[in-house]
Formats: sequence, structure tokens, C-alpha cells
Amino acid sequence: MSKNKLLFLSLMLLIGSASCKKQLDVGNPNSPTLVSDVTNEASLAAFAQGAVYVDGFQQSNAYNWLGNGYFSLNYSYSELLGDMVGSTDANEIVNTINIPYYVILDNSTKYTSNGGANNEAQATQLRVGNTRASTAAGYNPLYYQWCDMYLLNGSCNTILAEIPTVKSLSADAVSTIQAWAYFWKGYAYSVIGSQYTAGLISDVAGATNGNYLIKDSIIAASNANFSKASSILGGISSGSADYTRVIGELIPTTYQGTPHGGIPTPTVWIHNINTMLARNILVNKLSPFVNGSLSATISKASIPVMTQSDWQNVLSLATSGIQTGDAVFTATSDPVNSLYPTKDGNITLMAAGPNSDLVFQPGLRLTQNFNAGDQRLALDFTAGPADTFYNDYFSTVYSLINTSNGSSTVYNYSDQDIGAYELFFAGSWEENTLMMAEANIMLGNTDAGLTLVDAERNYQGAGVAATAGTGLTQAQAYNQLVRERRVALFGRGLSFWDSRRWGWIYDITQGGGSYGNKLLYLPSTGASVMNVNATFDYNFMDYWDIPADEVILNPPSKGTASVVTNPNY
Amino acid sequence: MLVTMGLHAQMTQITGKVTDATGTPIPAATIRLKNGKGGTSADLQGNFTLKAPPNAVLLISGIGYETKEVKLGSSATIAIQLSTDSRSLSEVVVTGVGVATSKKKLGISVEAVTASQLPATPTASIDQALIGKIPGAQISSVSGNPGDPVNILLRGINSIQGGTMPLIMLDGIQLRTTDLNSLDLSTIERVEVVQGAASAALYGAQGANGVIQLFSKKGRKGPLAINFSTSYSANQYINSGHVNKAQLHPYATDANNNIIDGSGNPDTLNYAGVYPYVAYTYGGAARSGIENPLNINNKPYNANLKWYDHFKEVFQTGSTLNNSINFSGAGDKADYAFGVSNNHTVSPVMKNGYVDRTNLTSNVGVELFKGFKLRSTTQIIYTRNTMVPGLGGPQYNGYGYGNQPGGVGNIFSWLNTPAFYQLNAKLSDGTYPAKQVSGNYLGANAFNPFYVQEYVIGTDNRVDVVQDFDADYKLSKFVELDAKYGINYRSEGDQVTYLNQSLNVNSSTYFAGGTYSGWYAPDNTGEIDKFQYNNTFQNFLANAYIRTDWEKDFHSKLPITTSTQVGFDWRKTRYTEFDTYGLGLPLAPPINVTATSAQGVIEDYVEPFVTYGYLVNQVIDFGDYGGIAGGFRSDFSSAFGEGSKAFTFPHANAYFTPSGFKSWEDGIGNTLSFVKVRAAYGQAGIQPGAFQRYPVINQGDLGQNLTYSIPSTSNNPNLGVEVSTEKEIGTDLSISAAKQGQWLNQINISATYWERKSKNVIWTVNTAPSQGITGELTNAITLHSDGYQVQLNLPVYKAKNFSWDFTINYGHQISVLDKIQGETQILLTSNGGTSQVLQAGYKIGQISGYKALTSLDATNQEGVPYIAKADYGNYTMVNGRVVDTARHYIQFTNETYPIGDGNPKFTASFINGFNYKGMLSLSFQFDWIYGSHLYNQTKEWMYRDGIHQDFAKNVTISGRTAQFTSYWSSAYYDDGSGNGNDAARDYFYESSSFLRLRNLSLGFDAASILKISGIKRLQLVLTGRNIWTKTKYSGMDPEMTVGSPNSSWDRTVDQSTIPNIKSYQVGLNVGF
Repeated sequence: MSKNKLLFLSLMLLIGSASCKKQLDVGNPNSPTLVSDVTNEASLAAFAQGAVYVDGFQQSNAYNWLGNGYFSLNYSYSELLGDMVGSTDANEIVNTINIPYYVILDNSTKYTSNGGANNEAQATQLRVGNTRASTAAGYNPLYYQWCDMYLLNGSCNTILAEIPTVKSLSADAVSTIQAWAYFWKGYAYSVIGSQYTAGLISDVAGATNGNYLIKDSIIAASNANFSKASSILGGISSGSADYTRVIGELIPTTYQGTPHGGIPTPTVWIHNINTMLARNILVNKLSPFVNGSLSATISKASIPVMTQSDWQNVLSLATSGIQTGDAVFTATSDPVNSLYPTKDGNITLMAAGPNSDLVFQPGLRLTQNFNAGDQRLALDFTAGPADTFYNDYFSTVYSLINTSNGSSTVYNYSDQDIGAYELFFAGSWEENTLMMAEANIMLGNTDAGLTLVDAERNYQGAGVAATAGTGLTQAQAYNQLVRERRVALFGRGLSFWDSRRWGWIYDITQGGGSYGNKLLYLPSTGASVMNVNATFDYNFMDYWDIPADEVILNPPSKGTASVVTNPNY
Repeated sequence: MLVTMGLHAQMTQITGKVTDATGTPIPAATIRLKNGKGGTSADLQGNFTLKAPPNAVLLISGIGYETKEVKLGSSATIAIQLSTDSRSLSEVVVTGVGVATSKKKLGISVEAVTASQLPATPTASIDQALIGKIPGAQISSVSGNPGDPVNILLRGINSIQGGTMPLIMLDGIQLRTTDLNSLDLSTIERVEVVQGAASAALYGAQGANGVIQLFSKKGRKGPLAINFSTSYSANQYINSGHVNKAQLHPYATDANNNIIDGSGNPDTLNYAGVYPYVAYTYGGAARSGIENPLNINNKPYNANLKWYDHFKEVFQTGSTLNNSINFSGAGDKADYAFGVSNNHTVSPVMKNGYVDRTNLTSNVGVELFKGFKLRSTTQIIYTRNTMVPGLGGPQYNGYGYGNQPGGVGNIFSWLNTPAFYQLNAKLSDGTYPAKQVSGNYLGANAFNPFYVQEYVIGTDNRVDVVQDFDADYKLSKFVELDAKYGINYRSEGDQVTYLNQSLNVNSSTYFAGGTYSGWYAPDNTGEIDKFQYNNTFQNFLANAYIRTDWEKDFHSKLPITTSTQVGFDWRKTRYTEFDTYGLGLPLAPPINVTATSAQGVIEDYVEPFVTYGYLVNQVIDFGDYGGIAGGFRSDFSSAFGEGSKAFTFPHANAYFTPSGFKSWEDGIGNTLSFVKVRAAYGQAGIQPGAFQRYPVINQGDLGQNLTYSIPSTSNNPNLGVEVSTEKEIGTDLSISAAKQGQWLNQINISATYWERKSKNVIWTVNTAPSQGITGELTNAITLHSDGYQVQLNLPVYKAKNFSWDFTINYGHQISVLDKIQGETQILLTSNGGTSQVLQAGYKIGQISGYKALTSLDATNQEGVPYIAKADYGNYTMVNGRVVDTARHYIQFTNETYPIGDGNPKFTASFINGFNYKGMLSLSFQFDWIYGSHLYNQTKEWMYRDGIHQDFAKNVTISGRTAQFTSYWSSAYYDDGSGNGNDAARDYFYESSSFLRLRNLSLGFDAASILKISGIKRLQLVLTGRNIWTKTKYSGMDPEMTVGSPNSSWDRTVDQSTIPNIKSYQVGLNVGF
């Protein structure tokens, strides 16, 4: 009898198991998958949009917590190393990464933080911090930009891999999404090749390789991807409804209505690409301009000096670059689900407001570049005792205004109101115009260059006297260009590359240094002293080493180990 | 059943009845003649008959009761009452063995605690009461925030992501959605604990972290009994390190010692409640002044600015009021117990809110027909929590999973407020300032908790239902069928309102609207966040037990009994969460979501989970000599990787009892009355996360657009269960030191050594970013743990009117990481920023950091000296560390080292109980944690602005003694070697060993004196909890050993964790 009962029980258990097994594949009802949800144009576009904006620029790496996302940290490093802003916060060493090797005060005394010998060279600090442990602790600046850009590149690889799996796409839709992926791959390689001494070319979704290549090859890869995008775009007819629809699905709706954003036509997009191609040349060659001298030389740098043909190439690319009224790639903050928080999505937003409560303070080496009467300084900044902030080399007397400057014509560096500040991902009309101006000046067309500088100043509502036709020498003209580039492009992530190519970040013994600077010096006793002719020896590493997180987890394949660190430091 | 023995003519027939203290019969009690052969056992009603010579002495014993000697008198009928045996070896346990088994016949270690051994804790929660009671287990209260869970680490660590929380069961059914600390302590009869895979193998994929099983009280035979209890306690946070802020300062002053502003005038508070300019005497109003070697922290706050005791302002005296009433009784065929209780706890943090919990319980059993019993146990719990989020209140996503600590981010946000600010000073309009900062640098990270209390409102309402049904059918003497079904439901709604703060001049004007309280809001105009959590869990268990007794059933000569369990176990969970926000609140009522200017959905989430398994367990006992058991369990789970294949967990154990042999009994048995050795082996698991096997893409919104993106770390379709394989060996002994005396007549010792290996431990291993992701989830890690535990339990003294019981619990355990797939080191950062690592060869909890140089010739790991010989003159030794004489900076390495793991060398508890005539009772428990360490991150943060009291301490550098700010601050700030401010440094790694008077309780029962009819108990109890601590730890509480409760790795860092409370309680217990 008990046997029967046991049999009965066993049978019940078997039935139970059969019915249970079906329950086990619960799936994840909360999240989509590539296989089941990226199946048509709209969902592929939704993926292509997120792959770029979210993976590349939002919260792509877990350690990024200063501000929020790509710009608040990576653009900040550029502005810190370009000596545009200072910080007292220790997060991601934003308070020490920019400490100069030493400074010579107006009274010719040497000033270092430790009161004695030179401060630690930045290369030493970066290398001490280039460990995976340091990354985890948030003290490895080399990690972030590398990580963000390779996540962007990886996601673009996945976009390209997904396109053939979606059957219902029109030819122009395929082209548009391909151009999108190649463009952002070009962008990622551009950033990597301009910032790091070497990189990897990784064009297979979900895979990588250990074949580290020096930066020139990465810039070449950037150019190749941009060119691919360009030629695909060239094959799309200008009136293609498919193109217009798809690009409208790729660029977030909000950004289509910003002052400089919108939907680029294929031609306008090619203009944007040309500007980036010009930038790839310009920021990766030297154009030494130390102590006001165009004949300065840098004895030991990772890059050669611009040649006349380089300037010609920059001029011709920029000439076919972003034109007046062209839509460019920008973003603004949204009231909800914003790409970046309206108060700290970018360096200028984080530097805006009363100095007392800020991560970054706008520095004197930024403001000293404004010509007298510049409306951008008058309307966007306040100065005075309440704006005085003491921080070693980075003490300042300015605050950046955190709301509208009240003018419809004067450029606004920062506006923390929702949707008010426009952030530039890639090239802008100003950058393109100033590249043309610079190339003209360096090719001997001084006045043509100055005319463009003046045009750019007018565009931003500077309200200063024109420089063209005032008989400036080439060096004086270049000085105007340099000053204008520093103020016009503040907050767009270019300042470090500019300081590098002008030779300022190199050690004085190698011909570098930055002369004639303002510095509010606070002695250990007594009142502060405003210096106006301080010499900064930054001695920064010109191209960064590869972060340990990459090198250790992806060891260099045979023969490529030597390129992962900058050989000049 | 009567076992007849050789009969004598002189024998007389005795009939008797064996009952417990309440009159409930003890079935199957054993009755033996002391000095002769013969004996019997009682029937189901406790009755027995026995033939015995005149004046014989009977030994009556029952499982779970103390053996009693009765000398026969002239009467032919006797009534025998046995008292329950609180000591370990006679108990009957079910956890880990499936069927009720005497601890004498266990091959595994099972710890049990009865209700009478659990202290009355202020929160009336079981988890609190268990602290120190289980040998080997590290159960510790790591937060005194009302409602927070305790940390439970049984034997070692098995999982990194899964934490250390064991499986919690109530009457055989898993308690999954209701927090352990929500149950009403007064309804719990006993608690059993099995600590690892060897003993928890029956629980398969749920069992690796061990099991804590609770048994609820049943009605006892007899008329209606009513018990009423009430208690009140006053609660304060422990500050055993006397942490406070420096009462001296280094700031620039005038001749009258007034702190001066930039123009040299005495500072005054401005309209926003701020002293805008405070400067160091040297170096001005800059953060860097603190590192200036000229600044001395030696000026008293005796002029315009005063010193305020912020600890006193914030940490007040909270309270707890407990009331409970229980009704119970039983007849022949049915029993019942009903209870109502309420616990109301007011937070000691500025009395900012309360947790109010009401429990309705019932436990009803009925025997429907012979052998068929039904039982229903129910707990309905209503909890209302009004504590402010940030000041201890429930906080945000995932809170509904349960066992979550409250949000405490603002409780310590004033640690960095300069001591010259009064936190509760109001602005002219009667509101509080948000931020009290000076000179743009002092207090830059501060935030005022009074501001939070003023502008933030939290209300969390929760209903828990725990319903278990049990049907048990004894089909025959061989077969018993048992089915259990339990449903555990939790529904919780949480609303957080951040009021519009735009009229506050500190927030709006002084900080331009950039400083405010909020969560999703981008500005200070307020928001309402609503969180709705539902969690439903069902558990169905079907078991068949087949028992045989060869002697009785098959008339075999072999004293073999067998028990076979065949079981099926099914569990299903469904968790849902729906969260919304509304941004922008009006300044005037109505303050509701309709009045907000923008609304959004934060989360709309559902998480299903199903698992089920089969179990076979065979037990064979050989009389009193020993036994073996073995079997396996196979589990399926929706969380197991591709194909959802079953995973099978085997187990086997055996015990040998030499004292069961007759020869032993007569010899060494006189002193060593019971000896058992046991060994067990078993496997158990921890389930992966519900969705970790599903590769997905992220769905999100970008402005008005829906986007998909690739998660930066990837899931793994082949993920397997985490498996823990454990071996344990142990012994249980009873020593009768002085058999007849009043002192030490029995000493019970249980000791167990265990070791285990945890494989397939899940973690995200880092990948090279160029792959397009930063990490991959996988079964990456192998760990091993070992340890031992000892319980010594002795009735020190026992006389008619007075007894003294003493228990020592002692345990040691370590968990070491053996291997990580593809990596040498996994990097973690705890909430506080302290670097923690998982590194092969090191213990879990390892902290990585910089070491202070302790000799001038110190070298780095490559052997390069830090200081050139020529420069030795520039350095000196201060407190054992190298300090540079010019700047006073402590010198640290520029490479990180493993600086410690914090794990204690042992944990021990000493529990004493004294009882006089059942009327007066005194008990106390000391807990001793030895060899533990904490990283004092809280102190490190207080070093940032020179706020910690250490800054007022003298230090002698190169013959000069003063309170150098540069010396103290160098422990916090980067000295230029690039290791960053606030980096982990061994300077802040401290011993946190402690000895704590966990509990001191004095009870006086007046019922026996007053003899009021109908009142069985009238007891006044005075209890002190955590009232004394001996430690060298300089933080508030050395017990704050975890960053987040039940985390495997976020331990050993004191990161503004909320200290435990010390409390004084008065209680009254009345029984009718």
C-alpha cells in the first residue's frame, strides 16, 4: 500500500517538474534585446542614437562621478591643462593634475607649492596614478576619455553589425545609419589620437586586439572613417526623404531645435566632417608661439611642426568646412531625461556661479585673453571681492555668471537654465573660422586672417575694435588669433591641445613655457599680490600614456609594448 | 508499548503520567529503573504502566526535557512533571535534518536558542536578540538607525555579489519578502541555525549562507493563558571614542581673539546664516592654509565665535515603546495562540521621525482526524516609517526588496560643518540655512541636517503578510506525508516630498539656488517622489517520510531505525516596482503631484523568479551508538544559465556515540556522560541574480526620444549557480563533573571545525575598454573559508532556590580569495571612497592603501629608497612615522599596499543567568570581538577641514611642541606624491577590538509574593543594552564593521555609519 502511495507521489512530482520547466525561461521583461527588439528602422535608429549619445557621452563608465558624463570630466581636463580653470576638489585629481612645474613671479622669484624645488613633474604624477587600483579609486585621469571613446567606438561597431540584420531598410536609410556610425568612429579615433600617445584600431563588434599603434595611425584611422562617412553621404541625393527622416531619428528631437543644431543635409554634414579633418591636422602638429615669438622651437615633442602644406591643407579643408548657418552637432539639457544635468553637464556649467560653491573657478589665464571692452567678459563674468577665490596658482577674482547674460547678441559661456546652454560635440563655426584665420596668418595672409578673427568676434558679440587693417605684424596677428581661440572656444575641450601645439606645456628647458601671465599670488603672510608678468613652466606630458586598465587587460601583442607609454617622458 | 522484562514476585504495578510544566503530556517519554533492568515508554497521552520493586528509583527522560529521578513511594500512581532542558544536547531540532531529531543523534551541527534565552531588545526584533547567541556566527548590529537590518555572517563568505544573508525560514517556510526584524519577538518560541553547506545541503540552491529558522509559539494545553507585556526604553547613540570637533582653532583673530573678516573686523553672521570670510592666521582664506606649517590650532573659541557641540545638537535621546498581548491555549484536538503587538521607535537623530510597527499573529492547529493535522500560522504586519530620507528614512530604488538600510546621507553631513556654527540656529525668517560654509573653503562639503528636517517629508507605509499552511498526515507507522504552502507578501508605498525651498535665502540667494535638498529635481523648487513596491513570494513543499524501527517493526535484533525523506520544493517570487516623480512644487498648498510642473516615471520594473527542486535524504541510526545520513538535492532555477539544467547538491554525514555503549556508561561514563563525534559533507548554492543570464540592451530616454544602448558591462547567458562545498567535523560532550553536587553537575561542550570552498562565485570581471564594454559578468571567483566554533554551556550552580547558568560562545573564521578568472585583482570602492580590493591570496574585506613611512631608509616595492641619504636631516620621527621637519608632513609611500582586512581573530560571548526562586532573575551578556580593525573613513573626512578633535592635540616635531595643522592635515592631503587627497592610508586603519556589555537585565516577579488569584506572572524587568564598551577604537562605535548590511566585501570601513544605540529599558510582563 505504501508502495502505491510512493508511486503516486513520484508521479505528482514528475507532473510538477514538467509544468515547472516551462516557467523557468522568465526572460527579462524590463529590457529589450538586440535580437528581438532592434528589428526595424525606428528601433535601429533608437539604438544608433543611444549607442552614440548614451554609450559615448552619458554615463558610459562607472567611475565617472565628477559632474555627470563625458563633458564634465574630459572637457574639464582639457580646460584645466589649458590653464583656463582651477579647482580645489580632489575628485579625479582635478586639483593637482594642472599644477605647473614652477612659476616665476613678477619679482623674478620662483614659486612652487612646496616652497622649494620644482613641483613634481605632471608626467610622474600621471604615471604613479596609472594603475587599475588608482582608476578604481578615481585617481587615474588617463582612464576616462579612453574608456568613453572606446565604448563609443565599440557601440558604433555594433551599429554597423546590426544594419544587415534589419531587412526592411531602404538604401538611403542604410547609408544614413552607416554614415552616422563611421562619423562617430572617426570622432572617437580623433579624440584618442589627439590625446594619447598610441591607440588601438578596433573595428569588430565585441572584440579587440593587442596591436597598439602610435597616435599617427589612430589619426589616420579617424580620417579614414570620416572619409568613409563623407563618401557615403556624397552618394545620397540632397532631397532624399529617407535620409531626412532617418537623420531626424538619429539626432535627438531636442537638439534639432537648438540655435546651432538641427538636421544637417548630407552636404552640411560633409562640411562638419571637413572641419574635423582640419582639426585632426591642426591639433596634432606644433605651431610654437612661445613668449610671443613665431620662431620659437620645441626641442623634444611627440609631434612635428606644421609645414606650409599642412597649413594649406587646413585652409582648404576649413574653407569647405562649416559654413555660416550650417547645422552642427550640439546638445542642450532637457527638463527630464537629459543627456547631461543642466547645472553640471559641462565644464562651463560647473564653473558658473559664485565661486564659493563651485567645482571649477574660471582662471585669470582665461580672462586675461579678452581685449579691453570685450562684452563677453563684461556681461558673462563678474569681478570683485566676492568673486575672489584663493587656490594656489589658480586664485581668481572672476566668477562666471550662471544664467543668461541678458544680451541676445553676446555669446553666453554658461546658462544653467534648462535648455539654455548649447554644448558642442564636434566642430563649430567659430572653430572652423578660426582655423581658416590661423592658416591664413601662417601662410602670410595676415589681414585675411585678421578679418576672419574679427568676423568671429562679431559673431560672438565681442564688441571690440577690428584688427584687420591695423597694421599688425604676423606675430601680433597670431597673438590676436591665439587670444581669441582661447576665449571663443572655452569649454569645447580644445584648450589643452592648443596649449600643446603652441608649445606652452613643454618645459622651459625644451623651449616651452607660458609668458606674460596674470597670477594672484597669496604669500604665507600678508596681502595677496596681483602679478601680471608671471612665467609658467607647466611641463605637462604632451600625449598621454595608455591607461593601465587597457594595457593590463589587453596586453600588447608582440613588438607593440613600447608604444603604450610616451617615450619623451 | 510495554517492553516486558523478567518479572519478580515482589514487583508492584505502577501507573503514571508524564507531563511538562504546563500539563501537556509528553508522549514517548522514557521511564527506566535506575539500578536495574527494565523500563517503558509513555503513550501519546503521556501515560505509562510499569512493574517495579518497592522504593525503586525511576529515571524519566524525554527528548527536549531534563531527566528526572523519582523515588517510588507507597502510591501506585505517580504524576511526573519534566522541565524543559534549555541545554543543547537534549534538544530536538528539525533544521537541516528534515525530521525532528534529538541533537544527540545529529551528524551535523545545529544551534538552537529558545525564547527564554533571547533578551528583550528595544526594537523587539529577533535579529537584534540573536547577537552573540550563536557560536561562530558573526551577527552584529551595524547601524542604530531604527528599522535597519543587522549584519548576519554565519560561517564565512560564499558569494561576493550575493552578500552574506542566510536563508530565513518561519515554521518550515521561507520568509523572503518580510524583513527578519519585522517579526514580533514575543511570538517566537525558538530559533534554530545551521551555518553552512554541510548542514544546509537540504536547502540546495538557497542554502550556502546557512539557514535561520524561526518557530512560532503554539498554544499549550490548558485553559486560556493571557500574557501582556509593556516596555519603554530611552535610546542614545554610542560614542565610545568620544568623537567630537576640535575646541581650538587656527584662524586669524584680532587682539581680543575675535575671528576677523577680510577687512580685519570681527566676523558676524550674514543674512544667509554664514560667516563669509574666515581665514587661516597664515595663508589667508584658502584651503591650502591648513598645510601651512606656521598655523597652530591653539586658539580658544572665547570671543565672537563660539564652539558648538554638534553631536549633542543632532544626536538626541530617542525612545521605544513596546506593547504586546498574547492569548493562547489548547484542548485535546486543537491549539491556538493569538497575539497583537506594537512597537513605536522614535529616531535619536533629532527625533526626526518614527518607525511604528503593529503585528497581528495567529497560530492555530487542529487534528481533523486521527493522524491528520492542519496548522495555519499568520503574521500580518503594518509598518509606518516617518523618518526623513537622508536622516534615516527609507530611500529609493530597490528599497522594497527588504533588508535595506534607511538613507542616512544627511545624518553626518554636518561632520564638515565648522564648529563655530550652530546647526540649529535659524535665519531671520525662522528657517534653517542649508549650508554653513566660510571663506569659500571651510565646510565646503557640509550640509545642515536641520534644513533637511525642515524641507523633506518622508512617509513609508508597508503591509507584510506571512501565511503558512501545513497539512500533516501520519498514514501509518511507516509513512508520514507533509505538505506546506506559504505565501509571503509585502506591499509598500513610499512618498518623499521635498518642499519648495526657493524662499530660503541661504539656498536661493547665497548659493544662487545651487544648494538644496532634492533627489531628481534640478533646482530648489521641490519635488514629490512616489515609490510603490510589491513583492510576493510563494513556497510549496511536499515531503514524504518513511520511517522504520527494525526492532519494533521487523523484530530484528539490530537496533536500527531509518528515516527516508523524499521531497519537492517550489519557490516563486514576483517583485514589482513603480516609481514616479513630480518636479516643481508651489509655495502654497495643495502640495501634491497634481501641483507639480513636470512629471516622470523613474522606474517601471518587474522581476519574476522561479526555482524548484527535489530532495532525497536517507538517515540510518544504530541504536544509541551512531548513525549515517546522506542524499542529494537537485534544483532548477529561472536564474541558472542557458538550458536551465538542474544543479545537484550532494550531502552525507555520520556520527558516532561511544557513550551509547553499555561498557562506557558504567566506566568513564560516570564523568563523561555523553560523547559524540560527527562529520558532515555537503554542497549548497546561492542563486545568481534574476536576470543576470539574459543579455539585454538598455532602454532609456533622451529628452523626448526613446533610446537603446549597450550596457557597459555584459550579462552572461551561461551563468551557473554559486556552489559552496563544506566539510565539518565536530563533537558534542557532556561532562558530569560533580554528579550529585550543586556545583557544575553538567558541562556541555559542542565544538565544530569546518572548511569550505566556494566555486563559481559570480562577479563582473573587468575587460579592456577597447572591447566596447568595461566588464563581463561571469562565474569568476574561487574562495575558501575555514573556522571553528565552540559552545560551552554549564549550570554553574543549581540548588532548590537558586541557579546560575553560564554559556560561552566562541568562534573564529576567515574567508580568503583564491583565484579570479583572468584577473589578479578586482577593484572596489566602498561608498566612502576607501579603496577595497578582491585579490587572490588575500582575505575578503581587504583594504588597499598607502603606508606611512616608519623609517628613514624605507624603500618602495622595487627597492628604491624614498628618501636620499643626504636628505635624512630634513626628516624626523613623530609617533613612529617619518615626518619632514620643514612642512611637518607625514611621509607616505606612493605605491599602494594591502593594509589590512579588518576581520576579527575571534568573536566570543559570555552569557550569565542567575535566578532566585523563580522570582528574581539577573542576566548579562558580554560580547568580545578581538583582533578586528576598522578603516576610520569618518575621521579622515573630518581631517579635511581640520575639524576633528585631533587637530587640537599637541605634537612634537624637531623639539617644538604645538598643534600643527600641517602635521595633522598631511594624513588627509596629497603630499605631492600623487596619491590624492582622501586616499586610503594606513594612518586611519585602527584596531577595533572591543568588549561590550551587550545586555544586562534584572527581573523581579511579584506574582509569587502577592499571590493575586489569576495572576501567574507580574514581572518588572530593567534592561540595559550596549551600555558599556571597552575599546581603543577612536571612532563612535567599533561595531560598525560594514558599509552596507550583509555585504560580502563592503566591510571594515567606518564611513559615517550610524552607531549602535545604548538603551535603558523598563518593562512589565503580566501573565493571567
